[in-house]
Amino acid sequence: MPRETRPGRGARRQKALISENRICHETIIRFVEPDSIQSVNAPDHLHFSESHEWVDATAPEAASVGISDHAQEELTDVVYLELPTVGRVVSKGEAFAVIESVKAANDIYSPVSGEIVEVNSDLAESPEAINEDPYGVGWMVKIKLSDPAELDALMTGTSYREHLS
Amino acid sequence: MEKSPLHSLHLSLGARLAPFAGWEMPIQYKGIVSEHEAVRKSVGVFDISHMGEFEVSGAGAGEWLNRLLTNDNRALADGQGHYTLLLNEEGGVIDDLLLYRFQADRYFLVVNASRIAEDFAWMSRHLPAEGVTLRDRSGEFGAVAVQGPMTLSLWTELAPGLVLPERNGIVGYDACGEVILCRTGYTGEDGFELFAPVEKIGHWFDQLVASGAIPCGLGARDTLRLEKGFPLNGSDLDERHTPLEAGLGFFVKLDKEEGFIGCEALRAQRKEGLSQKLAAIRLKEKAPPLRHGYTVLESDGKTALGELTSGSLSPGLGVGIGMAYLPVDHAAVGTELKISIREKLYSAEVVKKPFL
Repeated sequence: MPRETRPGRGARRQKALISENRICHETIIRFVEPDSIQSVNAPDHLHFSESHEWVDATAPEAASVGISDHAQEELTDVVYLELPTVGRVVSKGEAFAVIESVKAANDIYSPVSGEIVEVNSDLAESPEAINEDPYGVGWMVKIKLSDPAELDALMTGTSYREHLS
Repeated sequence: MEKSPLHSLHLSLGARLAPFAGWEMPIQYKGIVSEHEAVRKSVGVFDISHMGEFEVSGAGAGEWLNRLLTNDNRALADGQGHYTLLLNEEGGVIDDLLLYRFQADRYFLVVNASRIAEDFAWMSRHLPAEGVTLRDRSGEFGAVAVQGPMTLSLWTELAPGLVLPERNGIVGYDACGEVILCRTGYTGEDGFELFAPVEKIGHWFDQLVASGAIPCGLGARDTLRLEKGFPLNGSDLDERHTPLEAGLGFFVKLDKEEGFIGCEALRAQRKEGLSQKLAAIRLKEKAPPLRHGYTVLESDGKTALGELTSGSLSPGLGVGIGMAYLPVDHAAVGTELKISIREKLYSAEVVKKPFL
């Protein structure tokens, strides 16, 4: 969304100055406020990796994996997602998907080890869901964990927020 | 790494900065797609302070430039400009640039950031003993490009006293110090480029943003120019390819009697016929965006033909587009191709420029 700007008074004043071709004033009028520091959205029931993936291990049969709100914000405009095939076994830290913005392609690394039992095939048609709802409809794969203890090495939402700040 | 005079403004606007041609420049603010759309539908403003500016003056300026550049500047009246190219002896592209004529004895050149040093060295080497003065004024100017269909209404509201020149024209004003307006751009939309002293450019950028121009980064600049099939120096143009191969023959006047550096090589190339051409390529199926460096193959997927020199997702078309030098027998519009992306082959075809 375009930032709100207030062209009214300042623009008129500038116009007057230029049209009269006087020496222009040196003060830079700042209508545009810098972004307020937004608090990072990182729910505490998720586990986070340093490479910005999340794991939701609350369901007993398989853990969901996606990328964090911070990661989608950094990428902006997700336009393509290449997901692995169901049945592939991945190790923690292994690149298992490629996510593409308009500008660049980036690998996504598995935060846990295990077998991929489901992929979110809806994302092929609507990759922008990753931007819109990274912790919900933007989930990418479900992994049957081969070593649940790996979760302990990941960050909680709170520690991930601290890690980013 | 050089910093733009607008550096702190970019940071305050939340820009993501990245190195480009030795400069730390904004790649995007809110996102490439929204910035791209702003330029296609309303108006955006880009920092182009990295671009280089030369001034050539003196009684022999026009004649000298005409022996150096491919276009014919005798076609220019005062206040007019055109796209032209600087070539080496072999006809390879040193740089592509805009040449403007202020007066018969004073010209303004806008060159690519990555080529400022090469251009200046090359031109200095060919400078005559007298009658022509060449100045690199790049350090004096900051610059912004205002682009989009709402350009004229925004500018008329903001600075009614500073009338924009006609298309491809140039005009200089004394307002807040020197300000030069050139009615050109790199997006295919109406717009102009504004050159002002480095200490004043922040003022202009601020006023443009306050008037409603959306700050746009070099990411959107790249997708905008690619959709129009405009080449990027260093990617689509280089010293190993001629402007004829790049499809820029319109800007090369081979019939100039006095010739220009690289002219003989191009005449020979035209006579013999081209062996390769810069083709516009569009994906025919759902696939990842095209990227610089991806291999282009024959439709059977077996024989490699070349590499993409540019590539992206076209925000306007919603499909991957790119350009590549291909053998002429594979460069005709409608030719079926394959593009290799992470070891998978995707169907593509040669299309007409511009893409959009």
